[in-house]
Amino acid sequence: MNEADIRGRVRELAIEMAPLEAAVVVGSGSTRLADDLQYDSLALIELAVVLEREFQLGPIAEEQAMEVETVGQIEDLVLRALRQEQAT
Amino acid sequence: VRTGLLDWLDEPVAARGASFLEDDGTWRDEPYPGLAHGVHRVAGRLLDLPLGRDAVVAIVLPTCREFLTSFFGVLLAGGVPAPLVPPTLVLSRAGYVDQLAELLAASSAAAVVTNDDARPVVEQALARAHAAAAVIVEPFSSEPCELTTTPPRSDHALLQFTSGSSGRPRGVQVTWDNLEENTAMIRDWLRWAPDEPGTSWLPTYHDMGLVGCLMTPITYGRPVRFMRPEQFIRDPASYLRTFGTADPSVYTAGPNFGFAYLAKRIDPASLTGLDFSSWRTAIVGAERLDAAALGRFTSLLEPFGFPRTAIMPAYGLAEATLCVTASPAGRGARAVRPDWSALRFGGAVAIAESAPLGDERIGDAAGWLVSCGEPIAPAQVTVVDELGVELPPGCLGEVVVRGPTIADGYLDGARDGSTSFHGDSVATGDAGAILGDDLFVFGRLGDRVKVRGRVYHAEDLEGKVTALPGVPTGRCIVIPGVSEAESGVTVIIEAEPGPWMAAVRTLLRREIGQDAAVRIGLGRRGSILRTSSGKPRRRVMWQRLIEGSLPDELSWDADVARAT
Repeated sequence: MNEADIRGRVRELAIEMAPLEAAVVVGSGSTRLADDLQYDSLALIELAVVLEREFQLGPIAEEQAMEVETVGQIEDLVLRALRQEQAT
Repeated sequence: VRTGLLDWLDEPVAARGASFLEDDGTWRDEPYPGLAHGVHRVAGRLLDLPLGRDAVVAIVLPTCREFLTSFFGVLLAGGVPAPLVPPTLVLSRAGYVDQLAELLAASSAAAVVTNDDARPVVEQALARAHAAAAVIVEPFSSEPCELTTTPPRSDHALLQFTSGSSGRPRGVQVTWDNLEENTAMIRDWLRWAPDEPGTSWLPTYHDMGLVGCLMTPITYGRPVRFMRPEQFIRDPASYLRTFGTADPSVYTAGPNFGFAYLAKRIDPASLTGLDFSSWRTAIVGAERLDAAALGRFTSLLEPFGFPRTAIMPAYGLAEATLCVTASPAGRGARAVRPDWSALRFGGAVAIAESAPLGDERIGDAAGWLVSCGEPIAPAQVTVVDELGVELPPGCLGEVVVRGPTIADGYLDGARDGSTSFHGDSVATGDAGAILGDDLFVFGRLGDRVKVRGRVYHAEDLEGKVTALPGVPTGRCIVIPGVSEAESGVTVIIEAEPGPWMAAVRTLLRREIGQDAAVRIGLGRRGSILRTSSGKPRRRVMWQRLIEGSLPDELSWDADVARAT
């Protein structure tokens, strides 16, 4: 998977898992998790678990998740984690 | 027989204790004697500050041993504990600092007990609030520690924050008497025997997780297992296993959402070998009870011995400490399908059908209401009309709770538009009826709506709708409340149809989500009833809405957001 594929898949999952009805959202990198997609802290953890499984990542730390506000930042987080996995 | 909240410290039972789920999946047991030492240690730290009697101490901690020792330690030191949302349960750090600053300022906390992880953000929030509170970090230790003095007891035993009708936090002042009464009521109602364990994943800064799942078992020295909400979401199987393996837990509590989440996430194949036949009680409360979600949960676990009578719907509120009504132990939950078209505020509720929860007649649950059970003595529940006059049983009105668990008002005598204290009673702002022996709650009296555990305030939504270009200022009312299918909102706008309606629809879908029904009604000026000062008469509009007596000339937008 190249970077664009990974970003696309993360975005797809973030919108699919959103507490808000997905069909009405056209997601972009700047889509905000709380304001646009209705994420709360527990829904965000649910998304983190799904991303960890999908990309075979170690647990995403809660402190990292807390800094995330947009779909684009989740994509960045996953890409960073994947690079770290490759490096080790 | 009631037990004092701190009595367990005198003779802590060594054979029992609290267990905490570690992140490696193991349970760490902490017997009561060690916990009691920890409580004394925190109290000693606070008294060294020194801490004045009745001083509020904020607790900013996740569910952990330190939370438990801090809560009871503040009480032992003569302070008033105020548990606040910890940073692990918020979405963004920036928003959290503001939220915490507001809570710390509102509570006038003299000290904050926290941990090293949260300390920086607590200090930021204190700076933002221009508040000078001592920050205390006291890692747990079970090493012996005893206070040599007995500080005088505080007046209040808990400052419980809830969000009011405007969404701003209000502190409910809960007394020792309130808590000792309510924990005794819960223990007696459950018939909770000394050696029976319970499990909780609920946050401890809310009434259900704190009073029901932490204070009740700890005060009575019951074995209890705690996991953090985020652990429950990550690994719901760990939670379920505590009910189905050796030394099973037999009590738990949670909102619908938690039981629905288990039904969604747990693969039945993973339950092989588990035996849930000892599971006595699963209290369900805190949001409108969803017969379909509870049905899915029951169907998942029944093949593994789960008794469907264990589902125990309950009703309560922080203003009444916690628990007010619950289904009798072992009876199982009841449901009714009211004749919604004949529903009228103040009038008798006609019941089209009734069935026990889990009955196949309930199907996908549309139109069915689940009972909240019976009032737990000595709590009394009445239903009143808009003038506060008690209605006969069977009528729809506002739920009023009376009894020794009614809290000592809001901090600083604050008032709230929907829930209000009147001496030893509380007008809850919930619409309900007593049908048979059971209380049924139909929804809020028009000021807010709860969808998936999140509260939406009418005034907030109204502000957002009015801010849209093309929507006439001051000509819009949002009425959250009862609808047959689900929680939902109705918007009435005094305007001609226009292209701006699409924006209103998009906004409401974005705000409320797919779980709520959204209806838009257009009418001429005067369609919105107002007070002499021009404020919308939301509660009256709400009553007319459910009675179907809104003005005929309203034209309804049929675009209902709920996915069916």
